[in-house]
Amino acid sequence: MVVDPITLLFLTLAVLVLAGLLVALVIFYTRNSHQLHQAIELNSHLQTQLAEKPVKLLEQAHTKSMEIIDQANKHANEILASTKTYEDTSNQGLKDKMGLLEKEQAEIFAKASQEMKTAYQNMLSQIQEEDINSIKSMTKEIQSDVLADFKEFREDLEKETINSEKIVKEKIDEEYLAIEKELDDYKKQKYQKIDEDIYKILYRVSEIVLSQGITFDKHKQLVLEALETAKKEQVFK
Amino acid sequence: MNEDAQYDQIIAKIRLKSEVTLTLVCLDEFVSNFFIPNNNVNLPQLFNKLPNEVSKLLIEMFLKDPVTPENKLLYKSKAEALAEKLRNCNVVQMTLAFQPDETAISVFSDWIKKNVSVDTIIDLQFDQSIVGGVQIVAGGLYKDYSVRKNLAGRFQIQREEIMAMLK
Repeated sequence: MVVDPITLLFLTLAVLVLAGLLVALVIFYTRNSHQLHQAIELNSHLQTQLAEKPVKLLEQAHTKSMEIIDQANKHANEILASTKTYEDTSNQGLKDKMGLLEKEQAEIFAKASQEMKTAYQNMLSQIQEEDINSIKSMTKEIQSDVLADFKEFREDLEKETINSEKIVKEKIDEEYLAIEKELDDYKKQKYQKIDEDIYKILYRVSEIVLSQGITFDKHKQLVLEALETAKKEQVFK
Repeated sequence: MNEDAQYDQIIAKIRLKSEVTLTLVCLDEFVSNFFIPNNNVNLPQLFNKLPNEVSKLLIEMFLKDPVTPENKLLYKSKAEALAEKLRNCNVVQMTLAFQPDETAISVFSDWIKKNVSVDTIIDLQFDQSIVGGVQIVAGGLYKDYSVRKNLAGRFQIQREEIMAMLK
């Protein structure tokens, strides 16, 4: 619950006034009580004196004291009555004043609410407008940032792609050269093997053809020629 | 004719190592029969297994006169002397690519006896893989005069030309 500060101040003042009055009454009462006590003491003193003086004096004193007491009581009652009246009056005034203040405060509150509502609406509209502008601006900034980032990303990607292509191409070239070398070696080995095989086959075929093609006389002639060669080479020495 | 000349004459007619071996066997049988009592073996028949010329010479040498108890020891001594000479003959090992007939063997043996020495005999071997020619082992020396080796040598020398022809 929202309490108006002015009302709160007023209520506080009222409470303070009442508290002041109450304190004053208590002080007054205490003083009267003290006077009463003094009077009782005086009475007691007088009674003591009267005990020593004649009864008349005592009675006069008694009467006088009674009067004084009555007068004090009366005076005290008057004060209490006036205090009561003043309290009632004050309460009524306070109530009236509070009602008035409440009314005024209600009007002030209504007016202030209306003003605040208007100001709030204005501020809200302004904020909305500023927000829209900010959002628009942010959108543009984001768009430009995104475009810049995208451009940068695309450039990086292109660079990376080119580098990757270059690396892959180098790798492929290396692999190609290695494979080409292996293939050449393999071909050389195979050619060499084929050459040797063909050579062996040809040699064997030649052997077979020659062995079948040499006549008996030719065999004899070959042996004799070999013997002559051996003789020249001094194999038989 | 003295005995050495007879031995040389016989050795000159022996061509192959196999004939030497056979002759040694025959001589051994011949000598063994001297000491078998009541032996009716036809001695000339023992030498019929040998080549004719060798057989004739042996018969002439050992059976010209009948074998008697008196000349048995002499014949035995001659046979052993001949066997010793045969064992000491020079041997030339010849490996041929074909099976030579008697004529061919004689031709080769004549050549060896004429160009090397009369007491040289041939240890004849057969190996078709040498294609042609001869492989000779003489006096611990080996020589390959085969067509196979010649062919291999030619293939080796003319390898590039041969391969060029093949391609």
